[in-house]
Amino acid sequence: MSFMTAKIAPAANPLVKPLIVEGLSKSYGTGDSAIKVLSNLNLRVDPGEIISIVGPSGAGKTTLLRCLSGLLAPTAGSVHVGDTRVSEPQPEIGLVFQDYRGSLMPWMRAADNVAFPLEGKGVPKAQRLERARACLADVGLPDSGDRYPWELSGGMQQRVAIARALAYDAHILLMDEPFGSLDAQTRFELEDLVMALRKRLRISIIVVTHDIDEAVYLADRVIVLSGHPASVIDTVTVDLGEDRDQIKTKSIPRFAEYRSRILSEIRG
Amino acid sequence: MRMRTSGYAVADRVLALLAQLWLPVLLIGLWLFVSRDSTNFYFPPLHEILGVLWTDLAKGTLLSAIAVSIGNVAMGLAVAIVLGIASGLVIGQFEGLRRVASPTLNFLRAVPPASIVPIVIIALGVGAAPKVFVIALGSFWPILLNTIDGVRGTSAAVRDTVRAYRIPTPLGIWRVSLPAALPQIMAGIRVALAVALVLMVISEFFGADSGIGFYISDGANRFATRQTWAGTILVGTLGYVLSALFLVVERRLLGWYFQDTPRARHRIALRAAGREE
Repeated sequence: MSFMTAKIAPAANPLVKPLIVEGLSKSYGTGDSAIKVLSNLNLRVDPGEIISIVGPSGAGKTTLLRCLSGLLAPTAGSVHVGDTRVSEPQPEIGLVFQDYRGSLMPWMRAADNVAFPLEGKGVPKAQRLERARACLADVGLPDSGDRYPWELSGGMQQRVAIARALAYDAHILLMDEPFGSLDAQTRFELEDLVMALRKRLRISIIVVTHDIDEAVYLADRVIVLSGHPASVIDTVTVDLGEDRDQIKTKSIPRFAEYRSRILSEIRG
Repeated sequence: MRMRTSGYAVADRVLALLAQLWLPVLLIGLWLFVSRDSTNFYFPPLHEILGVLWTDLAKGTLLSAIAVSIGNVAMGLAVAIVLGIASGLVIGQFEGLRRVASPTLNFLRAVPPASIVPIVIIALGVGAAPKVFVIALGSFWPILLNTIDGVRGTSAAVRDTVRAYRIPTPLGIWRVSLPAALPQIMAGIRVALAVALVLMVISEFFGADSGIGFYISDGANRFATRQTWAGTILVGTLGYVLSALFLVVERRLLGWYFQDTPRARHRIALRAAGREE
C-alpha cells in the first residue's frame, strides 16, 4: 500500500473521499428460502485508486456494485463514502452500466443525456449544456452532442455514459462490466480513456469485469471474489505503474504472473 | 447519376401507392357498376348517393355538420388525452396505487361506452356538453391503461439511471416516464380515436340537431336513404383522414422511437443513393 499512497498523494483531489465497505453481506429473500450472495466483504478504495473486481459469473459482482452505489441495501454491514453512510444513491457516485443501450435515454440527444442529471440538481440550462459539451469533449466526443444515442456506435454510447457521470461531478465512478459487449479495439480505447480520466481528475474508479486481462491492466488493485456466497479470496496489488500501454504493459512478465494467479484462484 | 436514382425513388413510391390503391378503386368501381340501375329503396345507386353528398356539401349544411362533429371529437379527445396521460403517469409511477386501482379500472373499461350515451343525454341535456363528455369518457380508458402499461414497461436500466442520478420524481415523470411511455400512449390514442368516432356518431343520434350523426339519423327518419348513405360514407372518409393525420403526428413525436430524425432520413437517403455520408 505504501508505494500507492506515495504515488497518488502529490496530485490528490481533496474532494474525493475514500469508499469504505465493512462486513457487507447481502441475501435475496428471507427465511429458509433466502439466498446469500455476498458474505462479510471488507474493502477500502482510496481517493484516486482504480480497483477491479473480478470473479466467476454469478459471484455477485453486480450485486456488490449495486450495494456500493446505494441502489441496493445490504443485508448486513455498511458502505461509507467518507463519513456518510450510503443508504441511497449518493451525489458523489456516478454509475456506468453494462447495458449502455438501455441506460441512455433514446429520446434525448447525447448532450441532453449528459446534462440531464444536472437538471435534477437544479443547474440552469445554459450552464448544464456547456458542462455537457465540455464533458463530452473530455471523453473524446466533442462533436457528437446533437446526435441521438442510436446514431452512435456502442463505444461512443459508453463514452456518453462516462461523460454523464463526469458531468454529474462524480468523484467515485462505479462501472459494471462497462466494456463487455464492445469489440476488442474499442475496449482498449475505453480502458485507456478510463486511466487517462483518473490521471487527470484523480477520481476513484471501481470496475467490475469478468475479463482478467482488463482487470489487471486497469487496476491498482484487483479484488478477487469467489464462492457461494461470495467473499474476497484475494487482493492483488498490481505494481505496474500508473502509465500503461496496451502492448508494452501486457507483455511485461509480471502482468502474466498477475493474470495466472487470478485465473487459478477463480478456477480453483 | 443522382437524378436517375431519385427518379427511381419517385417511381418506387408511385408503384407502392398504386399497389395500395387498386383494391379500393376496384371496389368503388364495382359498387358504382353493380348499383347503377338499382331500384332497391335501401340500396340506391352509388352515383346518386355521391350526388346528394356533393349537393349537401355545396349547400354548406353538411360542412357545418362536419365542423360541429369534429369540434366535439377534438374537445372530447383533448380532455381524454390530458386526463388519461396525467392520471396514467401518476398511477403507473407508484406500484401501490396501481395495484389498488387496477381491478376498478379494468371493470370500468369493460363497460361499453356507447351504453352510457342515453343516460348522459338525459343528465346533461342536448347541446355539445353531453357529446363531448361521452367522447371524452370512452376515449379516456384506452389512453389511461396504455399510459400505465407504458410507464410500467420502462426498462430496468432506465429506472436504475434515474435513481442512481437522484432525479427528482416530478422531473423523472416528465422527462423519463412520459417519453418512455409515449409509444404506448400513442397506440392508446389511436384506439381512442376510433372509439371517439363511434361515440361521435352515436351521441348525435339522440337529442341532436346538428352533426354528422344527426345528418345520418335525420336521413333515416325521413326515409331519405341516399342521405343516410352519404353520411355513412362521409364518416368512413373522416375516420380514414383522421387516422392518416394521426400517423403523421405519431411519426413526428416518436422520431427517436422509429429512429427517423431528419438526420437519419438524410443518411438513409444517401445510403439509398449509394453514397456514404
